[in-house]
Amino acid sequence: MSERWVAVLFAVSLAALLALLTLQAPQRAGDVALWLEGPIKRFVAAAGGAVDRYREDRSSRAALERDNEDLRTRLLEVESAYAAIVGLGLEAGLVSEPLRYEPPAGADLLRADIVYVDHRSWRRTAILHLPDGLNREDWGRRPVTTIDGLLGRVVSSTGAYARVLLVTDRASSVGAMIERTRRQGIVRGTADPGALSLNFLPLQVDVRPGDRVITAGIDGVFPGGVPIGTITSVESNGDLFHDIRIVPSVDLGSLGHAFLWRREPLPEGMMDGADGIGR
Amino acid sequence: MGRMASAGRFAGALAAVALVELLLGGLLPAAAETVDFFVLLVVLNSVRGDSLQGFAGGLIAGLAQDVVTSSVFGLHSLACCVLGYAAARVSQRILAAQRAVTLALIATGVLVHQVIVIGLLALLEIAQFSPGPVAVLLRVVATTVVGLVVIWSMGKARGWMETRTKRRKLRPARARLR
Repeated sequence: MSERWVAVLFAVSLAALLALLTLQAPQRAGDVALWLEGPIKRFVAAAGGAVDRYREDRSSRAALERDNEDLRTRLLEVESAYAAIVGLGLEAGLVSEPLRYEPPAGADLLRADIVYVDHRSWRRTAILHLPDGLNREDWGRRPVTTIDGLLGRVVSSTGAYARVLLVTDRASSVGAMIERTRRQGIVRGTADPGALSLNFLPLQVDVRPGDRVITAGIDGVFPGGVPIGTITSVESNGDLFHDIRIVPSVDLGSLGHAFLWRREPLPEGMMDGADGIGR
Repeated sequence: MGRMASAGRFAGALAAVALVELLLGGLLPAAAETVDFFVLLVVLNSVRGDSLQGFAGGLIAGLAQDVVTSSVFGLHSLACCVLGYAAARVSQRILAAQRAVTLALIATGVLVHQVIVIGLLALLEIAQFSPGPVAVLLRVVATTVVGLVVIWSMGKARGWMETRTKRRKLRPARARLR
């Protein structure tokens, strides 16, 4: 008989003798059974866990691969769109050169911390803490945006702080347009602190819920192309104009910091007689 | 044939040890508790054979010890089984023919046997007398001394047997010379 078989026989004999002894000590039989049962259960649980993890890994890996593929496709689309935009810019440059047209210079944005927000009371404002060294400048009527879109404009500044009239305030008005159709109107705050209205769009104008509304750049204060919000409802109340509701792009409940546009607004004197836009 | 002969010798020795243990248990209980003849038998059997012989001999001797000493059935069997197998494996790796090595194996064997028995009694919470450290030490020394005597006696007996066999073989030749 080989040594291996002797070892097996020895182990079996030991197990049998241990079982025999355990049977004669019933008060410990339960403990010994538990002692043997514990590792077996742990092994079974670990094996089950490993199988589950393997399945999850496989499914999540498949999902990741799908997402990756989608992202690659979108990246290609974005790259194509970017190339088209660059091409359009070059074309615009070629066209504008003989006309001696110069596009406006790029804006200078300053990051400022929002230290106070009140977007639910009758006067919806926020207070910015201005960067050091810039607190002596006059920031009146400068536009304020966040990474999501338009926040409002500065109405007063004192020292290192500037008060911002939020775009949702009822006294606020912004020259806006529908991105899809380029049709212009005026966005104003409403009694509802979470909604805006788009005014002066005649009934015959094509407006749909889901259309994006951006600044038109026609009010002398706000630059063009900044997202304001998305149209949620378009109704007709028997008047000549649509009754359009917009949900703002900026989540006013999660503000942390904003960007102050260092951009000279039109002189107030030039705005006399205007329709109160940009106020 | 060799295995059968050694099995027969082992059976005879086991019967003798059981008899001695019974007699000592009746006449001198203290001596029976001090000297572990079964462990002596298991170690001496294991150092002269392979691991199967050691393990099987240990198991059988342990079962006999359980019966003779009326202890929990399986207690000494398990201890002697482990001891026989381990002694056989160790003796395959060292020169167990030397008397000192065999004595060291006997001493270690008694100690291991006692540790296993006491450990099992504690682990299984079996209500049986468990010897203290001094008793264990005394048992180790006494069994080793008895083991020395047994090994010396076995050597002498083997020498006497060989001399007798040689004389028997030489007797006809001497008769012819006369």
